[in-house]
Amino acid sequence: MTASPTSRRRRARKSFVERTITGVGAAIEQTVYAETYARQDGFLQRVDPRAKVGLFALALLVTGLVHDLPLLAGLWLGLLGLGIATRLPFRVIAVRTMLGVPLFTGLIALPALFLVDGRSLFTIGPVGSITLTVSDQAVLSVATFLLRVSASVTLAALLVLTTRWADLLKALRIFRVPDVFVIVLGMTYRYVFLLLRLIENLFLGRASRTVGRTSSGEQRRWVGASMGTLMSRSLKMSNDVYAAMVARGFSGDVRTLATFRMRDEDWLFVSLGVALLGLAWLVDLSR
Amino acid sequence: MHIPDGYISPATALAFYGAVLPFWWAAGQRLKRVLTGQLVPALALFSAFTFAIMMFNIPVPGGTTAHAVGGTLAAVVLGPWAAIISVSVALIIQALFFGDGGITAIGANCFILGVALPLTGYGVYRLVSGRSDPLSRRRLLAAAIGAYVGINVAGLLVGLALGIQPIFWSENGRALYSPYGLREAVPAMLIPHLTIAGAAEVIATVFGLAYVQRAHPELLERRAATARVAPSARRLTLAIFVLLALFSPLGLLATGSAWGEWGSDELAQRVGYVPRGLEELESLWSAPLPDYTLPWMSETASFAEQALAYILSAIVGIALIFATAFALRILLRPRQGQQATAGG
Amino acid sequence: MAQTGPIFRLEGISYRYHGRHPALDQVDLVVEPGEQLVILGANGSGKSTLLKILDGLYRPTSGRIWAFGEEITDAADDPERARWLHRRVGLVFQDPDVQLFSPTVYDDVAFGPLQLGWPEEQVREQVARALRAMEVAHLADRAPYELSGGEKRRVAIATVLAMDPEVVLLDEPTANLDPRTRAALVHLIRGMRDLGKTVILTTHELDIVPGIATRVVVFGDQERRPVASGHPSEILRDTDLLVRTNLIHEHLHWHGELAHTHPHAHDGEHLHEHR
Repeated sequence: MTASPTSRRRRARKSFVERTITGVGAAIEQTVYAETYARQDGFLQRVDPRAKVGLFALALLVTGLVHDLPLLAGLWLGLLGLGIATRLPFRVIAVRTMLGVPLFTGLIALPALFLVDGRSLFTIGPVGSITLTVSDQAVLSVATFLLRVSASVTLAALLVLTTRWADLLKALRIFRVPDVFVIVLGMTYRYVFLLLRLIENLFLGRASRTVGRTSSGEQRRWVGASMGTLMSRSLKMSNDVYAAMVARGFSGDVRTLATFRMRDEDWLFVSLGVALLGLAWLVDLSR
Repeated sequence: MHIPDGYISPATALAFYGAVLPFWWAAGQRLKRVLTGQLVPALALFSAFTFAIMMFNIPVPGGTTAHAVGGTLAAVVLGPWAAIISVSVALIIQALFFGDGGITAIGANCFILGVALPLTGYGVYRLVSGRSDPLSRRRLLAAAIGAYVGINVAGLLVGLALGIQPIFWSENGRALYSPYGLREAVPAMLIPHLTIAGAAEVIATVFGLAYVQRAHPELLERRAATARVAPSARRLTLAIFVLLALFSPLGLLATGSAWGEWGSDELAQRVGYVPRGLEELESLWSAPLPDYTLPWMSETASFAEQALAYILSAIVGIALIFATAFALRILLRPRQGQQATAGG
Repeated sequence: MAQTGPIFRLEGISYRYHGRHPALDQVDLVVEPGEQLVILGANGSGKSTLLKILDGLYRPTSGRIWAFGEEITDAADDPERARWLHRRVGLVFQDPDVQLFSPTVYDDVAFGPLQLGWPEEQVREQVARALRAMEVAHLADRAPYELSGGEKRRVAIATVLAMDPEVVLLDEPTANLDPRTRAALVHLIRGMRDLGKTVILTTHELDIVPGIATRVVVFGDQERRPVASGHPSEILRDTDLLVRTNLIHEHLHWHGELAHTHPHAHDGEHLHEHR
């Protein structure tokens, strides 16, 4: 059934509501699922969060510095393997680490195949007056770029999928991040959910009430009003949460419990990780 | 646009962290004084709100939708310092938990979207709105212009940050990070920001501010009363433009010969400058260390690389020793019961 | 510390929002130790505001208030006095989301004891006890957004119980809960009597009153102050009072050809016969 021009336009106009609902729903779902995997009994899940966060930072640095292409590829594959070994379903890893940012990167890097100069590998055309040349350095550049991005994304995914977010934030303290900052991050994340649900309700309400076309002016006014509603709610909650904190004895400085303890397994993880990463870096320097 | 990991070199990322940290510190100090005890819940809710704003799909002319950052809106309603923190926190959460933006790139994204955008937007807003009534239409216009300028400054900065990557971080013509030079990256960023993203930002800011004018006028009136008169905003805007001016020599690079078409002397000139300086250093140091060159490093490795390799080898060795020790401890553990797991 | 005099004494307490909208007008009230007081009032009759004043969070526009024999009228502006008060009085807010601001349930329940400066061992003990008392120990490592409405309510109460207050204030604790959860919650609240706590609870739901209250105070939503006080059985039988204060309404229904109105609060009253 071919859509009439008006209904096609209606669909495109309406889609800002649909797209937001989809986007918000995906955000909520993603986090809930990440927590599910982080609670499973894989070996990475059991490692102390501080060990993971520390090693992750080092690994990210090494991934950023490595020049050698085969080494980059090895890093990426190794990380994928780690994800599978720690009982993360392959589909989940694949979606997180290959679709999304790596796919987007691949797409935007395609034109670079024709732009980077070097020894010509093959030529496309001439088509009209245009000749496209793919050089060896172009292929290597794009490959390096793509592999590095993929490895970084896989690394981040491993950290997030195997660590509960509350623990991840607390582990940030090893970087001497001030307590206030960690607490603000945690509270923000917690209330993001509240606001995401509010957005969902606002947009679902609109989706169910909208029949026929609405002018773009009305749409924008509505968007502004929704943002305003969010703002009002945030302001009110800010005051209420403060009152709730004061009612439980809060007077400005937050005290927290020390909760993590490193086991032998965690130290083994850290020392092996440092050894492997150091080795990778050494190999990279020698090439 | 949020810059992912792998698009910029660690050096660039580090430079941006260095650039953003003083702003974070200054904003933190300022807010601590203003918000006192309420600092934590206020910042958390402002940041959650900013995050939520970024989730909106905004209908723009032409039929598509785009996301807005809302940094200028936050600066106008909450103040520039609160905007810096709330946008930064929202970006950090997006990077850490939603994979939106890289983690080494957090400094860069926070500087561009969390500092440069709100401050330039706010600066322009203050310039255009002058001392007009906080609930007037002139303020809406000022916010619109501020938002548009702010998002495009951000787009320009992203283009610059990405565009310099292949210039400084290439190996034998192979780009190590983003492969697009300034000639490609800057227009590629500016065009969507001048059009679609700019429209979304303006719409979000204007209609959001209009709502606040109607529903929470006391917020704006309070801001007008407590906000320091133009000088501080002007100083900040000036600082941003100075920074941009520092980047402008790169404009010469952009208008010069196209990427890769540099003559060999030009290339040697650019790349050769650094090693020459190091060479001089090396001549100072070669005396005490000639017998310490490592066998697996090539002869053309610079002194810095050799030193690094030496340190790394030591670290790898020590780490392996520790690993063996802990592995032995685990293997030799008595087999009764399970060891208490960490955490609480 | 046994309290001999009244726990709370309010004289002429008035409160206006932003200096304009009146929420409370000349409230006089005395609360004795060990009471389980239910403040009945229609929505918007100022009950929440009253609880916030009792906990020293709001400063009354006029009037004076004493808690444990000490004046707390200025507590909202006096951090020392406020902390002293918060240590002994716990407030369970109407919106549990406002009270659950930490990453996990355990963190939230531990927040109060930690802020009071207790040593770590004591904190852990108090948390464990509070979690058990509200039957939410199995939810300890959940995030607040993973909880159902009833679970959030129970956790919110646990966050307050962990501080071991002498007085527990609850603002509409059974609002928006399904019947079974409500019943379980009422049972748990009644258990506080056994812990020796004074409980003050606001609600507009009449059916939970008999299970909990030793005394009922009815707020008039026009008057914005107590208009009646007494034993639950006498208050609940005074239908004129209840209609006047907007707690029940006159309800019209049909029996065959007969139209019939009667005051109505909940379903049970429909099981009647006509001769």
